[in-house]
Amino acid sequence: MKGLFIKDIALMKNNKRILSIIFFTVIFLMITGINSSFLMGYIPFICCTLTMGTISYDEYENGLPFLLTLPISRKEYVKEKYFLGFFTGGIGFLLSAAAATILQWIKTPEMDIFQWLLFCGYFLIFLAIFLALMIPIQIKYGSDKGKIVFLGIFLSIIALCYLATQMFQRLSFDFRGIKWFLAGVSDWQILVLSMGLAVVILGISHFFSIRIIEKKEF
Amino acid sequence: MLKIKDFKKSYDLFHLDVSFEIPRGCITGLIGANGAGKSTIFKGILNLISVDGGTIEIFGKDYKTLSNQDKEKLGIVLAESGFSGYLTVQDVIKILENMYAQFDKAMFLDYCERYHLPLKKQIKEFSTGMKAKLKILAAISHKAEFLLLDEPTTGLDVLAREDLLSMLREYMEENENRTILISSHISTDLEGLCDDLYMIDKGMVVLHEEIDTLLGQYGLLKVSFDQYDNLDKNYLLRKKKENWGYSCLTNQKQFYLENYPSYTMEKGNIDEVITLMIKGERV
Repeated sequence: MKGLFIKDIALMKNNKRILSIIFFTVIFLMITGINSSFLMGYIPFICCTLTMGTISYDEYENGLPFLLTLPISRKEYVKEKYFLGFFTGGIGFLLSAAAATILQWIKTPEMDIFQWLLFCGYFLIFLAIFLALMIPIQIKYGSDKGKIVFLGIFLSIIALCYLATQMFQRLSFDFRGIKWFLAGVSDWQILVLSMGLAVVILGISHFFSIRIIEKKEF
Repeated sequence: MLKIKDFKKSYDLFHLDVSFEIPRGCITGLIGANGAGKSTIFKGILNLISVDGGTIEIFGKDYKTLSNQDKEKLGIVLAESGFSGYLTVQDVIKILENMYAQFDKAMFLDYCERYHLPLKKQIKEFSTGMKAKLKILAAISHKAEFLLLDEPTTGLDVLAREDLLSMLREYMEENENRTILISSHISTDLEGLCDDLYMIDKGMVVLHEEIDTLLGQYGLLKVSFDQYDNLDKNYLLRKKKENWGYSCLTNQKQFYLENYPSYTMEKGNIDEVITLMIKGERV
């Protein structure tokens, strides 16, 4: 897997433009003092797309069949993409979290550090879910189709949420039970539950990614 | 080294059904027209496609159960696939170093220098010949025991092809137990390299013969219609009707030279054998 990782880092060097855009965006946002949540919502996700880029590079001129004849298994190929996703996303997350924390601290020195950590934790969860969705789509559909499929899924989720809200309103669904339940649970407990859910989603995503790559024929 | 029995694969209009065996220390060629099924055989051996039936064994193991250590003993060249064009030779060296325990960096660099492969240029900017040399180099630089080379010389000029074949000869000279399966539709490449040859047509093995036998005992008999009528046809494999009579393929050239000395007998070369085996009719 180390060889694959080295290959992907080498391929990422082709994304110097994206990396410089990220760097200058961070500097610009820090100087102008723009909302820190934008910083955290933007940088790690851009970093994750670098991983998706390596899948495209692997497929460039039908390169994937050759890669799979090297001493790696298809499972290891998939595992490495998740690892790389967390590696690049993690670096983006740490960088943006550090920058956003400095920004926030300058704005409000008396900030609640626990609330701030919660806030960061939720971004990490979104990052995990983003990777969990993107990697299997990218492996199955490739670069161009993958973007369309991802957009389709993203819009479908929004549409589903909207429809569900409308339906519950029409049916006069009583949310008080949920509200009472949530009132009895601390913010930290919700974060841990959400993290657990993200781990489950990642596990499902990993399972499907392996199935997709194992069924692939070249 | 490799044992294939009743390997079947079907696409819409194409059906492959082959069996063959490659012993250790041999260079075996697969020859056939484009679309004959050569690449499908490689893809099957390398588990890149699903197989509809049959068994494939490499190193005595089922091809699906090969471990990473087993895969390190293979050197692969695929016709239409290789390292990403966005990598440089330097990147490839680092990757191979970390994938193969026996990667020989000094040898790799030596070949790069000999064949003028730039280390820092992206592979996509390489010429066809440079790309092909890099593919072969990646396959032979980790002391692989078994090379599987699918059309490694396609699109190359004579000089580049000769360079590639020299690389393969040097690789074989280092260790007599090394084995190669190589496919090509250029017969002269295989003629000077291989010990034996499998001829593939429409997904079937139509001929298996040692190169020495093929070049020594196969012949092309060119006879008029009258001569054909008087000919002993027991040792004819195929015939093809021409304007002036028949072209006949035999694997008993000596028999006809001795018994029909006035008849025209041409030395069989691989191209002619292929043409007659595929386009000729059975006698």
